[in-house]
Amino acid sequence: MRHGRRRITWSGTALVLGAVTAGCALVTYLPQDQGLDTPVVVEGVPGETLDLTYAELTVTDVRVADTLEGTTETAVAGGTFLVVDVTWRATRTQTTFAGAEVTDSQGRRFWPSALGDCAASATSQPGYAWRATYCFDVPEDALAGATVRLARGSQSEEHAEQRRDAVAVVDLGITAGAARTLWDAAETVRPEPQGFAVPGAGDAATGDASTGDASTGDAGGDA
Amino acid sequence: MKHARSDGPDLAFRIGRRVVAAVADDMSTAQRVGVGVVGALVALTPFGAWSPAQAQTAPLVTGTAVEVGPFEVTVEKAAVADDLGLLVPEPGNQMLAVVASVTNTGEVPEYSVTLGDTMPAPRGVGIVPEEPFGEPAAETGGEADLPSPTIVNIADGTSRSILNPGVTYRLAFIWEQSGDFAGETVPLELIDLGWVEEDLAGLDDGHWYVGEAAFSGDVPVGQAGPGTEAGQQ
Repeated sequence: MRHGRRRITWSGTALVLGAVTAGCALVTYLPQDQGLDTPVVVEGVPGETLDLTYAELTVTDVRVADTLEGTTETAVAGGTFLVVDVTWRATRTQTTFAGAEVTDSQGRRFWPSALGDCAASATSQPGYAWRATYCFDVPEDALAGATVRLARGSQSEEHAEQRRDAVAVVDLGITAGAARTLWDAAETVRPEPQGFAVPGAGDAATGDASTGDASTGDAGGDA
Repeated sequence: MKHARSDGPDLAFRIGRRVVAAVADDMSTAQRVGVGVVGALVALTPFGAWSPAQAQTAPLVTGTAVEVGPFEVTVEKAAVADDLGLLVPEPGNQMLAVVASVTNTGEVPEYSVTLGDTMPAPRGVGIVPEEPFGEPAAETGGEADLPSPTIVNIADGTSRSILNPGVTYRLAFIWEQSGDFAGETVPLELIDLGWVEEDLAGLDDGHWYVGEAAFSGDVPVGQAGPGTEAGQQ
């Protein structure tokens, strides 16, 4: 054996491997930056104005539709379109609201379809109320208990853009009984293109008045 | 007399050899064998050392649902037409459409581009190669690159960029085809998709990668009616 040099032993090797394994386990299983990544969730219901700091948001109406009639195209749902009318009011600066997602009671996530004048995102100037309609193609079993999550950060990449930011989660108030009625109702909705909201116009300004009650596809409030 | 020598690659080699020798000298024979085996396996990993043997594709039968990645796909038929609404081929060509019902069986939305990856253009039936940016068709190993399908929702003729979970769509996968094709079937393959939870480099976590052909079969070709729109297969 040469002087001044140490042999690599099995116990030494095991010690190093054990230390590396323990380090990996700590990194993998201990919560990492959970407090920093979690968004600030502001919960509400349709008709309630929610303060997201960077904007005020109101879900003004919730409907369902088999068909969307836009100015340039007509879209037919694979399931049914859950039509969510909202009003955004940016409070600080021009803001793009890129996040729109429905989550059902099973945890499945649904993104909006930019079809028939429905919006996938919206941009508004501060101080003005901006109206937009989001349309989500969902299966029947997604209606009951569905919530909509709206924010300025996109929902893609596992909500990465919504970390440490305010997001609105609105319970659409659809019960199991109402879900069946809504699914069976064959409705055509003509979403208005997004634009400035008329003050005091309320729900009637957000869509087809013919679908404004529960018997004809209105899922908001009554449901 | 010493000769001038280049210290570039030779120096690196000599340093490397000394490091290896210094480590190996302190190892027992069993340790050297173990390190050699591990080193060989690591070296072979990029060449498929851990991959299963090339699997045979399962038969693709029209009307039978199969799973590819997050999608359940039921191929119904194929059809050719002189044009499909806004999809108009070059003079002398025609449009080939494969009709399939598709459901996203996952819990999150998927892009239709991902669905398009599962159904490559059938080969040997005159699909017009893609010509990126007006350049001549690229040649890959003697075979031209064929385009991804244009996917259209048959119910309304719209394109759906997002396929939400649990919703079934009847879709047309469309390519431009040479008008010389007069076959009664087209050979179709469905490619499996694999989910990458964590990318090795950590730069592209959570995505589907395109795997190998999982299903293959011949799909009968019919003739679409005159004046057929893309959404009326």
